[in-house]
Amino acid sequence: MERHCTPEQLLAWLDGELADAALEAHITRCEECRRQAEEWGTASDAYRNHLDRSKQEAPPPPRAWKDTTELMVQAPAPARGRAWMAIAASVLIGALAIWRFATPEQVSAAELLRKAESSVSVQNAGSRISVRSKRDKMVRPAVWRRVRVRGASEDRLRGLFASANYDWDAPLSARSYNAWRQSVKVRRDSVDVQPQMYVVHTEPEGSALREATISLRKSDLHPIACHLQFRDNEEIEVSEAAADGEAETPATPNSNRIASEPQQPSLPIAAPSIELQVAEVLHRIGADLGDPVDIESTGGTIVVTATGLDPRKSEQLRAALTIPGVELRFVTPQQASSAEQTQEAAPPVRRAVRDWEQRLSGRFTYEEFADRVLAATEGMTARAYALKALAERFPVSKEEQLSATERASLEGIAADHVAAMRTQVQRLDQLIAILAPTAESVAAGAASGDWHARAQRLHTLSTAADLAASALFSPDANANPQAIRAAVLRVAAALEEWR
Amino acid sequence: MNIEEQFHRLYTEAREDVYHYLLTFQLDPASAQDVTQEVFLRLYSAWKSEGQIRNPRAWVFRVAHNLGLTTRKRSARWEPMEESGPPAGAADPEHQTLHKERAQRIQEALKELSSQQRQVLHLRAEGLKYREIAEAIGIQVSTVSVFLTRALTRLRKAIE
Repeated sequence: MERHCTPEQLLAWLDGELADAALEAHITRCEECRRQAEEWGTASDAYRNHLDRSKQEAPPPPRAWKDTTELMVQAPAPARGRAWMAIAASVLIGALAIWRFATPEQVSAAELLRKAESSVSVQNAGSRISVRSKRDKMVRPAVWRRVRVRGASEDRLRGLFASANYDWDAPLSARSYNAWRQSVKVRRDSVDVQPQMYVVHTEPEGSALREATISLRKSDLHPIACHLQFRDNEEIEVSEAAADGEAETPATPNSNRIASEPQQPSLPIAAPSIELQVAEVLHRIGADLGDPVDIESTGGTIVVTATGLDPRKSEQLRAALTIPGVELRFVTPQQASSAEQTQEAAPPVRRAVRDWEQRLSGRFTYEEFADRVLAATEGMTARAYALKALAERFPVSKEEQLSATERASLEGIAADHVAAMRTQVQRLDQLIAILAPTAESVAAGAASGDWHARAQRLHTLSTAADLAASALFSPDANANPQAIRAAVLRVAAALEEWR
Repeated sequence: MNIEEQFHRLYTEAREDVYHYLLTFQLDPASAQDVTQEVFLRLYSAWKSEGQIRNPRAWVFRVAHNLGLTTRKRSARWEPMEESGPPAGAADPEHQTLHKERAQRIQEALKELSSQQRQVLHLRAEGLKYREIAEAIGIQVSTVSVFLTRALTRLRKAIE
């Protein structure tokens, strides 16, 4: 009996991605497949036309698009760039400078600050800043997250900032500047475009501040300095402290306060460490396996957003995630995600169920077998996704900032995922082995020394195995168990690289 | 073609498509444009750092999807235009009426789909492959096929 086409084959054929003479001949002969292809083809064409018209009718972008040169210059430099890249960037900056000389640049303060907020790297939270007023001077961490003992001078500075509604805990940040700016109802903004930086200047009305200025590095919109002019003629200059040269000093004249109470350190926790703590908590409660939980580092703060979590998981997360400097947000999606689960049942089952059950030798019903395979593939891919996400969240540059203990902890999370994945892959292999008892030998391949690359490889292979296994549930029993088993064994071989 | 030339070409060709995809996240036009430019800024940075990106167009939509979700969480929702008017040149009133009815039926059918189903449909129409769609919206590859066939079946019923 000739097998029908799978939905994937039909859709790929319709989109011109599958040029297969045998398939084409089958579609020509088989009324059922032809009818299905025509129906989907009609729907697909109608949707594309609809999309095209929607695009024509959609509101156009409100501003002119930036040109590519400008985007290239604004793009953050790669972590480990090559010399030629730096030269190319210089040439681009030079070219842009000439262009700007000829054409005055129009930059919106609001847009610039918003971009600066989103582009701030969390690593900067560990850096130090110098704060100078007419009476005081101090070197301190850029971001304070813990409750500390403060001196009188610091209290005075804090009071000044509070009177202006300006965040003293992170004074040199685009987020703090913008939050203050937005808290003022009437203001005048201007942006001075200089060769290496943007200088945003704000004159508010009805604020303790007479004016404020923040300087943002052009290449990555990193805040370099901030100047606050108060109405009582006090002025405060905040700037980055030299990388190694300036040690932390409390606000003068109370220079002994902080040093005398070492049990309450004022240093912020290094940002990658906080991220690791968040990853550990999520891992501990099993919320790193595909739950809609986002971790975002913005302006020195780590925000964990959970979207549409069930109440039990939300409560677990709330109880577990009590890390200073980490903000937890719960979002209820406007379109309930349960729609996915409550929609119509699976598409009409046209599978040769009896044929499958014969091949399963009576060990399982088709339904039991399908449930077990789906559980194993879901378990496998969820772990592969989690491992890949972990590797992406902690690239080498960030991992290098962790202590030995923290690194061990990171390795522990990865090892958990690998061990759980191994169990799922073994289960999957045992199930597929019922249909394909003999397996071709699969080479483990050359082991890669870098766990990031291995995580990526595991993800790729498990996705391929998942796709192969999904053929078991296509409308017709034309899956090739041998090929599925080979795909699963490739994942198993890749897992061996982790031993 | 070097990276800069490839980047320029993709930016010119795809920025409007990405912008329209972001409008489906109920972002206002200004935010959608900002996010689009941010996506390409990140693309260029990633391209320079990694040397090669397997499918830059799919990469762009994946990042646009993530940034679109994040931006939507932060900002107020914007109600996009839903209805699609008659095609250009369709002056015949009868044609216009037929077209309007059909567009309304498609719009109604789209409303009945889940957001993920609509996204799968949209990204497929933008030329992304199953794996790329799965990576973009964080679902399994097999689910992409299920969503797509469900969505097309519903649309087909709507325009019958």
